[in-house]
Amino acid sequence: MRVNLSRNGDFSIRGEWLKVKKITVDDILIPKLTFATGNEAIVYGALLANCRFFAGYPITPATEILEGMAKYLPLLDDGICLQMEDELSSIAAVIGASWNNFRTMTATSGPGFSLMQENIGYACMTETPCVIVNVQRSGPSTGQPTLPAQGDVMQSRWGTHGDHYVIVLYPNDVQESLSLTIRAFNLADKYRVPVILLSDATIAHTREKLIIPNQKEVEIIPRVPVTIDVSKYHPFRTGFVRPTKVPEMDRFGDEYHTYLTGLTHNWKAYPTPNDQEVHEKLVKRFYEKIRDNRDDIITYEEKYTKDAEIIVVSYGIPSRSALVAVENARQKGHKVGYLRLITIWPFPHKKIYNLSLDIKKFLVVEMNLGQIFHKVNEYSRGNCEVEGFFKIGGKIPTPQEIFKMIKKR
Amino acid sequence: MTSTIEYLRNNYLRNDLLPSIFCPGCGNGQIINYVLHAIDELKIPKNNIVLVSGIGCSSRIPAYFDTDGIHTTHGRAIAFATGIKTTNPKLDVIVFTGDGDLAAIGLNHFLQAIRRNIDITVICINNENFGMTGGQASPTTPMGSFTATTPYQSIEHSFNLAFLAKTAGAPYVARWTTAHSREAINSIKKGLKKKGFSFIEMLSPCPVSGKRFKSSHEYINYYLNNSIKYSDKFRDETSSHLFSSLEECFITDHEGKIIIGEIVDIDKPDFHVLYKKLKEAAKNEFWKSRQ
Amino acid sequence: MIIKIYENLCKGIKGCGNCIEVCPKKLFINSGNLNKKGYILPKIVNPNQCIHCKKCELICPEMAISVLEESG
Repeated sequence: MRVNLSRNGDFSIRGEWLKVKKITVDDILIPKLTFATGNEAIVYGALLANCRFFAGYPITPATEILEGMAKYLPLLDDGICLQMEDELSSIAAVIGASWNNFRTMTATSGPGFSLMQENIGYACMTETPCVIVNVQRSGPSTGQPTLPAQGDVMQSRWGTHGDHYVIVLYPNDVQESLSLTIRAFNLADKYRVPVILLSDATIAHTREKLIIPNQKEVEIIPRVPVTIDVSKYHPFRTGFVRPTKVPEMDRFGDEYHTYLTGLTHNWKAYPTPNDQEVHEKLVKRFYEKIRDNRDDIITYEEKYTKDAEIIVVSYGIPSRSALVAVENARQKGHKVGYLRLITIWPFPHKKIYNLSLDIKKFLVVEMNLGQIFHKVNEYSRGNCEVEGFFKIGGKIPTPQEIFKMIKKR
Repeated sequence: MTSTIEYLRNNYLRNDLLPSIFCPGCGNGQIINYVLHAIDELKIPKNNIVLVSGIGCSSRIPAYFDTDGIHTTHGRAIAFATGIKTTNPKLDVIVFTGDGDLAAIGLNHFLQAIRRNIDITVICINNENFGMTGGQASPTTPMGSFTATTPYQSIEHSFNLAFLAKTAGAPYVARWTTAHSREAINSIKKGLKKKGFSFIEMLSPCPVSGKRFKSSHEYINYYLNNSIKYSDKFRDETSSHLFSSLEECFITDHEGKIIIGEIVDIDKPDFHVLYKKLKEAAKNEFWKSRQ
Repeated sequence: MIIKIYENLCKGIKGCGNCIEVCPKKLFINSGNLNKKGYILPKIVNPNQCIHCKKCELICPEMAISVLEESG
């Protein structure tokens, strides 16, 4: 397609001009059984989840997500993909577009994720649903751009300033990259919170078998719209129409006028930065709407833990080595269990506590210098030993290395 | 039949929030006045309006309007507005921003949105300092000024934001002061009607934090007596105030002349129009490849 | 012409005073009175000389001045 822009502003597009038939996601995503990388799976998952706006900036190892969305979104009705000038404007455009009743997403890696933090805080404060993909690479700073790491786990929870709550999910293979992307959008809309989907350079670029569902097989849990009488509408009043701490969500351009601000605001959305009680009530509600629904949000994979003496806790790419190591150890008679976190935040502290009562040791395997390790330690409450196996530098912990740690007394 | 002031206030503003928090004489109130006149004269429906702002005194303006509004982070208003406008091109998106918000931290987003020719109207309320934080120097503070962060006079040149917008390629650019009421209203109307990025820079009084004068009427008097209409001879100018020499900047009480007027008014296809065509062509190629 | 000044909205002639500055007929002067917030209010002299230019309506930052046709 070539666009000719003449001086006086009218233009023509070379190529045939037909009244084109609508394209659906099922038309694009064929064949249904394919090989795909983790990044491609995230793109497919987003399209199936009805994501129709993407704004991003190229960064290794997340660039393929931007490119995939740039290729497919223009084919869909309402689909828009923008390459913005930096990561700050990417997340800003994503938040703005979300208020037009769009499901929106952006994708980046460590350096870009650090830039996005201010606006992620803004999304928390205005309770804007959006999905932020962070394909982790080795840091800090420019680090090892093409190699995996898990150094952003604490940052994904606490990266932005102030008391806030986000949901963080982390798949460990290509199929789960697709399904967790769909879940990320559903959780974002249900709880009106930014959801961070972590991945890493290995899952992003490894090609594996992928089964792509049909659009109608995908469960979409949309955000709850405002239906109350206009004169009774207040943007942040909860518990009036439904017994929930999540307010119904308006969209721009209708008769409900919503004012959003990053300042502390009351339930009428008027800025009230000097009111202690209003602030406390508002920020506590951000916590409560997630905390009260932990059972709905938290998922993990648990294997061989019934009689285990040691449990290997892991997530993301090293969990694949961990599972092989645990199964080898079981064959050799060691009483080892396997716990893989799928929801990283909110942290499954009840599960950790309950397991800690019956075991001798947790072995936390991470590709950082200890981030989830401290959480496991905290919630074991001294009931058992907690040891960490930390590997940084871009090489994934091998099953042999983990097995050695399991064997050692 | 033009609407009365009472009608404008009652119909468009959240009256339970008035009088506003703005300082006595602040130019923000005048901008609200002009925007209300412009919206009303164009009969733009309230439901269709989205006001976007960054951080600063001028960015508190959207709170007073009974429309959708979004008060975002410092310097990023135009990036948010890009997301809002591209996903719903039918909306009338007006961005309120200040000189610090736009020209310091937000300069990149400003220029990029012009490059994309997003159809929004940006009103930059230029009081030539960072007002909310107490009067620090901003990129539009005239050279030689004494401010909170330039106690020994400013030695940096100042941007003329309207000329920057012109160089970047904006199809509608105007620069007025708040003393030029009718011209400002007409420019805002033109900007709202124009398809493409419209930029209206409004020089505005800051009696409390600005170091020039202590009351608004002195600013109004200065604006009325020190303005020159834009003409082609100023085409290569880059700074916000005209001085006859570099030395003149540093002599106190020498204010320099302000260039005002409609700087650019051309037609240029906006982002949405091109994106629509792009989508049709992409869909076309898709079906052809599947044959 | 009736020129109405909304006293509760006015923020005073000391920090503002725009109306006094722009009226071509110089119809606004210092009234010497304060409103509830302590701002010094302006007042109108000779309203029959008003030429209905509405510069005061436009220049007021609080939209506190309204120029209306005298009715009946």
